[in-house]
Amino acid sequence: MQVVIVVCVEPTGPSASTQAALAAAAALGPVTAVSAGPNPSLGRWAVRAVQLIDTAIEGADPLTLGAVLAQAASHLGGKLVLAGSASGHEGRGLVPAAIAHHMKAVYLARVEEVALVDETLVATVRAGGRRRRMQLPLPAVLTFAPLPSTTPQQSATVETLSLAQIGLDPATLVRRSDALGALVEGRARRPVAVKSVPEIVKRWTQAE
Amino acid sequence: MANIVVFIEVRDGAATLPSRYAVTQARRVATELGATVYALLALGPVDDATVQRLAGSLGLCGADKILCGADAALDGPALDVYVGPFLQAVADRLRPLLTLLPAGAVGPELGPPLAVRLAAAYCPRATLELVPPGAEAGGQTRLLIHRHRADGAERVMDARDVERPIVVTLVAGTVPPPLGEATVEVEMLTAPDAARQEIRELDSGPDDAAAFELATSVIVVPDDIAEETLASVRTSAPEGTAVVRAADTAAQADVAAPTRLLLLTPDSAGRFAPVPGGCVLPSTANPNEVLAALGCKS
Repeated sequence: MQVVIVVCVEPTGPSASTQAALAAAAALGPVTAVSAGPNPSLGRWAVRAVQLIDTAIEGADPLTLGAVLAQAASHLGGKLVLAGSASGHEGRGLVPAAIAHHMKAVYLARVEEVALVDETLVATVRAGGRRRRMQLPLPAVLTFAPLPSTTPQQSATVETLSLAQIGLDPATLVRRSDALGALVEGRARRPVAVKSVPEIVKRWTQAE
Repeated sequence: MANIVVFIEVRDGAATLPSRYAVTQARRVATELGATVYALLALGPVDDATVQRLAGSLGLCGADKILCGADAALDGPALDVYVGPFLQAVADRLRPLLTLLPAGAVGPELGPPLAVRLAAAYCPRATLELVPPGAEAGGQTRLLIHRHRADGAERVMDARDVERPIVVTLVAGTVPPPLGEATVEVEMLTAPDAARQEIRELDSGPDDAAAFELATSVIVVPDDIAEETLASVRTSAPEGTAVVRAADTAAQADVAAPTRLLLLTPDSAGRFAPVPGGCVLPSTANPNEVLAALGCKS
């Protein structure tokens, strides 16, 4: 039986790591793309595209989004969920971890390669100073490192589902505030182009 | 008393430099705010001498106590499938206000799932700032957590305002002179049963980007630098400094969080997230002259 592969795509469009996830998924088999929010472009990357639209998930925190996407993946028959390691926005990678938590699935971050034979998953990751090929059971949630990738273009019609349609009662969602902190202009210093070697040494030493 | 737990990544039998740095940061915070620093080791079966050696190095960094799991269930790299349940069990027992993870791939691997399990706030690529007491702060030192986003923006979280645990992945920094004692209490822990029997490592090979991932200082050199020159430069580079070809940075650029970044191939600048609080120096100077001036002999 073919494993249903679900890729979670940000409503704002795929980040570099999500594009890597889409490319990896396309190499495994037919892809179902899911977005927690409106994403009219979703059909570009999948043979089935589902956008979840419901007032209950507007502005929701990552844990709530994870619960919703986990339910969506289950509703669609997905046993393998792929996602980017970090969104292009806050970039914390919490949503995939929350999906894994709610699916009671194995979680592996920043995968570089993946293969699927029957229901056996083999993923390559860099961990502990080595590149490792890991054999994992399903269900699994894998996130992908933002490596350069090419995603085949598709043209699926985007379906719209509400939470009720995926079998989730919005009243059961426990939303919480997302502890983000105040947004300030970054203190990370802008690159300073330096030509002279003594100046490089001076700046390098001062930054210790 | 509040607790701070620091997860220690062990490679080649030693705590990584970012792990030791994380302990020193925990010590700094704990001394100001009145907390206990627990360094957490998740190891496979090892002898007592190995545990004591690791514990000694972490004690010198300022750990108050070492918690050590030395169990076949924890053997292998620091993946959530191996150590996630162990981390959660420790958190359930100690209820730490702050859990620190070291820089490198271990952060995105362990941080998000732990934060989800604990319903904690999560701050990757972060630095810690202690703000001395002022009139407006009610006479207490405040802990600010600066999270450096990939787009260059920054989030600042006041730990007092967060009514839940906080999980932080730190940037890579240098380790100061000893802050504590080599003799430190060690408590051995048992690991919870995990589903690892279903997970198997099939094979592994060297990761050429491993040093880059953990480096406190990174020097990116042109792709056409001679192999023998690169090998020589790497050998003489100070601890924590990674010298990498531009082409070899793609794999780990998203997790590398050095304090200093010197780009001797300025066109590779766009590949890196902003360096938190540190410096980025693109330069068209002769790479060999620069490397020599920085003490890296070719």
